[in-house]
Amino acid sequence: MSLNDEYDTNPLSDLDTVDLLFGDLIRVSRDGECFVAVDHLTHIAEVGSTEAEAVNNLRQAIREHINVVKNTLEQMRDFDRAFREDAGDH
Amino acid sequence: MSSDLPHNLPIQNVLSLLGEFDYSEVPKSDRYIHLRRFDDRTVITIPNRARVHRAVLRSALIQGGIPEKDFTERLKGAISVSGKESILAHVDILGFKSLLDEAKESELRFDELLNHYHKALRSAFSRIKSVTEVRHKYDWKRISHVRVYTDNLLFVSELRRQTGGESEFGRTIDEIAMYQLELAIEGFFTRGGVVIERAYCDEVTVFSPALMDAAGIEKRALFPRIILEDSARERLRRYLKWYNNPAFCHFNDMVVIDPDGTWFINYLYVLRWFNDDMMDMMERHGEKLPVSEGPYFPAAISELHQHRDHIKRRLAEFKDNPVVFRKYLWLACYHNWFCSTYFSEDGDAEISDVGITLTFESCFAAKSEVNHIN
Repeated sequence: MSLNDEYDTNPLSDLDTVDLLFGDLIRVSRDGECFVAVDHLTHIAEVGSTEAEAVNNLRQAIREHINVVKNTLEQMRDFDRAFREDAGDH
Repeated sequence: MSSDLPHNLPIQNVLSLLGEFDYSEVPKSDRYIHLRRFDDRTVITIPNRARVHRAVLRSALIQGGIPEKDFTERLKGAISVSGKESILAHVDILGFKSLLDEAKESELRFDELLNHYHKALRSAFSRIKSVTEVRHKYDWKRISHVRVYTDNLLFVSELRRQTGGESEFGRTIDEIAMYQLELAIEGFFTRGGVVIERAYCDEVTVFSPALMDAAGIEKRALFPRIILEDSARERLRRYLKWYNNPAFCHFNDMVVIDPDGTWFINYLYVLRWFNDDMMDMMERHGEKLPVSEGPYFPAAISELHQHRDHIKRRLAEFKDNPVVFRKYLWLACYHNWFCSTYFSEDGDAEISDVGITLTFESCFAAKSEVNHIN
């Protein structure tokens, strides 16, 4: 699995993959009563009442985000393919 | 990283504001909201909670490539705003109406005057605008705006309560002085006033009771000068009390008092300031000035001479119009006083045959009056 490989459409299977890729890029800070976890690659941020909760929430958010990005790319490719086929027909 | 975004915002407000940047929701899950533009692969992901935390909001803006400044400007339309004690300056250009009358003469004259005015105003305005924008960018919650309409400039800057607003007051005076000088060396002399008043201002709204008296402020200025109205003068007096030595008081040279008791901005002092900076820098780098230029930095002297020449031309032009002539006569007196005080070694800077000498004093001199009052 590679994030740069747009043709790999398999959804990320588990949070371990997120940890593997993003673990070093997550920074956690305290903001008043809560903890804020930010991923410096995707710039996604999440909050939690504890440091662990904030990081866990962020892992979930990153996983969802990547799935949506992959689906979006797939939709765009489908649209592009359909458009070219349609244009070829004419 | 510090941010001036609100601590949290209702999710509906955030979605609606992101919608203004063409981001709409992609149906996906209950736990997260994803937004994207129709023709763009960029996806914004935020948690689906009733309120969006500041860090999450900032992350959404970064994900979507939305400048924080643009977002916060839109935000002002979605959250309630309030007026703040601010320093307001209203400035207009002396003789602008007659300039427009002259422009009616012919197309050629119209374009000639337009280009001259446009060049001067653009340069002066862009300088003051860029300073204001930078200030606004790093503290969007603070009111800091500048507007130009025909020959009118309106400048609004919120005063911080914690510091009594001294730094905003000082910066505003400096910026107005720079604006005034830049126009003056192009031959456009300004007049107006500075007040302290409750105000609100953003990209679309200017709201302050001080605006009702804008015309009165100009009339009270009387001469081509930007005066400190009662509220601004009293505030400055308060700041002056904090200083024992004029050498440490920035206002000492920036605000002076006319013999008629009016406090006004000593805009030509910007030249002395510029001169000193440049001379210090040259000294640090061991550079020497051309002997013929004398003890001052050539560009500062050149601008001072341009100022002198514009006044001389106006005095000659209006010698048969006593009302207007009197205004330029005052300006000539101010120019001469400035030259003798700050550029005394330049023999050419003063305007000869003025016939009157006015002596202005530093606002610091009024400090004793403050102590007496108190």
